[in-house]
Amino acid sequence: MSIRMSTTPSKRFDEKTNDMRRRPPVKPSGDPNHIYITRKTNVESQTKTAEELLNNAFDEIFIHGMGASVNKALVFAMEVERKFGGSVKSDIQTSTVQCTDDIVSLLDLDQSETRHRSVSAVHVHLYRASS
Amino acid sequence: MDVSRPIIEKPRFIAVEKFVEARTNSIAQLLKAIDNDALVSGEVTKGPRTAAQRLPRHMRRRAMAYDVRRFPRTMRGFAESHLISKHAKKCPSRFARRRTANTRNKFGRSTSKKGIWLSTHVWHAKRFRMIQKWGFKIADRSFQRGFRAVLRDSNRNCVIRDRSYYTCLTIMSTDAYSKMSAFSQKTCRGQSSRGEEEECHQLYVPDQYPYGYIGPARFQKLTGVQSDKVHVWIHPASKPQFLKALIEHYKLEKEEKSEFDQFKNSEMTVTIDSEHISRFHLSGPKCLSKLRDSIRLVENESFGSEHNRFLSVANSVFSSNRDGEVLYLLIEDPRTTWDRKTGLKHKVVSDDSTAEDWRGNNKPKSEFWIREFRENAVGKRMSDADFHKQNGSRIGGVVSTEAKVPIVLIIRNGGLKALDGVDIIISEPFAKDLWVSLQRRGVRASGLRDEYAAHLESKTLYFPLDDVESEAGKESEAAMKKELTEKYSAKPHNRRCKHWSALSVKYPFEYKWDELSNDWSNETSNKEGAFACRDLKMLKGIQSTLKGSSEFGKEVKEAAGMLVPVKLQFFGRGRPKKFGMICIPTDEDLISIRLNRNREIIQLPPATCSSVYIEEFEPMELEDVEESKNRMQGFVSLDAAASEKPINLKWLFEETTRLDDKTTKRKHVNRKKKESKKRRKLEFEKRQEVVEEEEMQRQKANYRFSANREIIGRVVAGEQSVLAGQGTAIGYICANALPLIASNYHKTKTVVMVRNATSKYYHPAYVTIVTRAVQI
Repeated sequence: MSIRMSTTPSKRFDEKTNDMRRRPPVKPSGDPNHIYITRKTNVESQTKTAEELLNNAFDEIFIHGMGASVNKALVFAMEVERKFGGSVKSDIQTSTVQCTDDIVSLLDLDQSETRHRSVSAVHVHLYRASS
Repeated sequence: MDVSRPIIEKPRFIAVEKFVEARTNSIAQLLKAIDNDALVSGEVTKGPRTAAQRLPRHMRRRAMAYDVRRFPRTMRGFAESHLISKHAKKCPSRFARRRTANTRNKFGRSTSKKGIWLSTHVWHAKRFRMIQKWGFKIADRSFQRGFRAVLRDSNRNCVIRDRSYYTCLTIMSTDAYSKMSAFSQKTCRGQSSRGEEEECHQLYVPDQYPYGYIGPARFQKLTGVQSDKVHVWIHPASKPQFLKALIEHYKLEKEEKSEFDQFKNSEMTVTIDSEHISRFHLSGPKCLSKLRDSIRLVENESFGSEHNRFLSVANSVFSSNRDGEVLYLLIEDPRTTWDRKTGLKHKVVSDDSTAEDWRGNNKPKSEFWIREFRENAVGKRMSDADFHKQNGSRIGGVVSTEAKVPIVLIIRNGGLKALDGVDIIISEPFAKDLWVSLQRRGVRASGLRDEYAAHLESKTLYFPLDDVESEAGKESEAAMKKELTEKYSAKPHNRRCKHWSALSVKYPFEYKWDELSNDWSNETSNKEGAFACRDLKMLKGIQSTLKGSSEFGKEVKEAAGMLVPVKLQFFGRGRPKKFGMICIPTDEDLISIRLNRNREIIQLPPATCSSVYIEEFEPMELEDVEESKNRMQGFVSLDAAASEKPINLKWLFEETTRLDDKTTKRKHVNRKKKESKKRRKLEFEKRQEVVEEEEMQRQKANYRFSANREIIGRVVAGEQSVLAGQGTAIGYICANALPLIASNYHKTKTVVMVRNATSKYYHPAYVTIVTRAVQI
């Protein structure tokens, strides 16, 4: 993987005179069997959804977590796996997601920068074990 | 034997002479009416009305009024002039009446007086409630779905709105962009400009900042050959004020002989709505992919790079595009994609969605803004009839026509939940075709009400309904007040909300910002009135101060009349409404919120004049009964015993003869009527006195201290938020009151109390500053 240089040499900026707008990260897929865990996700209720997906519609689901919610995504994946008690297996993969921020200077409007942030991510592939 | 019937004496004989003599007059009248020479024999009416009535009855036939051949030959010449068919044409068939081409001509309602029709009007009018607003007929809400469906789709799918009612001003002058910058306030913009992007500006009357707000506008600046042109999109409500300011500032004069409204001076020309273009707003994560599926791109070398860019970012619109980025496309006639069941197959392009500074390397193909280029396509447009004829005769349908339509896409990526997406600009004759094409790809159409709701869900202000100081905002406030007052006074007096006597709400249907800010400013009088703070840097500073990082600066403490836009997040109960009041919580309130956030805090009527908590409320004492009875005046009790009345036995067994006697009965009724009229009049006068007294009291009261808790601001929009699952509101508070609420923390967030104008309950809410510029 190529290493991308950020456009701004320093990542620091003055928060009082600059406004940072984060663009949403790219989603690997928009299919209904991809579940994205955020900091606001309720694990318990999401587990039910995942169970229903695995029971009724799909043979495999993908769970994605990013940054602060990596831990939560893993907890969630383990919870689903435990509920199925061995009939579901999991593969775990980690990756890095490139996020883009727009930094708008409130003083000088002709100046604007985009900044790249690298955020760790985890992807869990849950699938029915062939018995 | 029937006893009750009175015995009537039947006469034994009649003296005919006497009998007739007594009735001579009426018999003469009767004879005059019927035994008349002018009448046809056997007819009683005065003169025949139709030709058929001239005939004796036995010669009359069915349908004589419609077919002259039913008449005897001798009468036909005369009868022809009386036939109905000559006067009334047959109504055209339903099919013919509903033909789109006819609707516009037939009804001809598209006038500025009754509201101008947008190009999608006929489509909308079949499915939406249409309302007249800002001189246009605009779709308000769908008859088919509520706004939740729209909100759901704007989060997962794609929603479209017709925003063609926005006015497009074309300003032609050397260095037009910098000339327009005199109106735009830099500190309020919060969006950087880079190359040929569309930017949202905040317009002020020059040299009047911070007063003289006009409204938000979108500037489309062009480079290269057309660099002397700027297109300014503004809301139609703010158009008069902007034009006035523009004419005054540049001393423009109206051009008389032109097809559009045009204003001119030696170096500058301003034309209004001359471009004949429509503007659609698509929002939702799938906006570009839905658009991709519903258009056919033209294989054109000069547009190749733009098309490749469009195809590569279509799936990841928000992560790869800057706010305001513009894409120029050249497409086939949108009707060519109407009949397709599956999405179109476009050529596969390499994914360069993350390409840095794509626009910097590719010059924009801004031919769209050259009018001849657009009109060329419009001229080549096939008529509907021709198109469908050709389409039916080919196996795959029509794939390409001579008309190559240029369109503009403007990416909206401002981080607003339900509003981000893309704006499409297309020349008018093709607008409806594109609209239908998008509809067939499953894009949900929505109206004005949904737009308002979407703004509230995204927690941003909606211009002009939520605006406080621009002329457009004041106009909409006045209209709202008029509507609400009419509705209020149409209610019976005992069903009206007692805003002042029971709830201590001084202004239930208006804001009166000037008075409120005057009450709060330290100086004795502030003649300039209230203004809203739109300086983003200052708002950011206030927000960080509220979080407790520093002290409030001088500019906040001494800013007389400054209002700060805030968003309110309810964390307990409460469903905020427009015209609600934002108040300062007392210390007891803060403690009680910490103990139980749902505890009810009540505004008491002024008589008792101190607020108490419901738990501490003591049982009513006997002395209060009288007063409470007074208060209950006019209310209908549900208690069965209360409506029981002792009835006199005499009334029950009144003599039947007395009731039979009509005169007595009538007199009795009339007397009762008179009595009740008198009573009503007295009651009305008494009520009027009370109202006047209340009005006096209300006028005297200080706005700020009119209720138990000090009022610091008002709610301009509020609702139970679907996304948050809690009440959410947007309002303005006085900047001078900020230091007083800054230390009211609950879980590290600043707390205020909010009360609706029709309620006595105060609800706690977290307050944060809106640090985003208003956009259209």
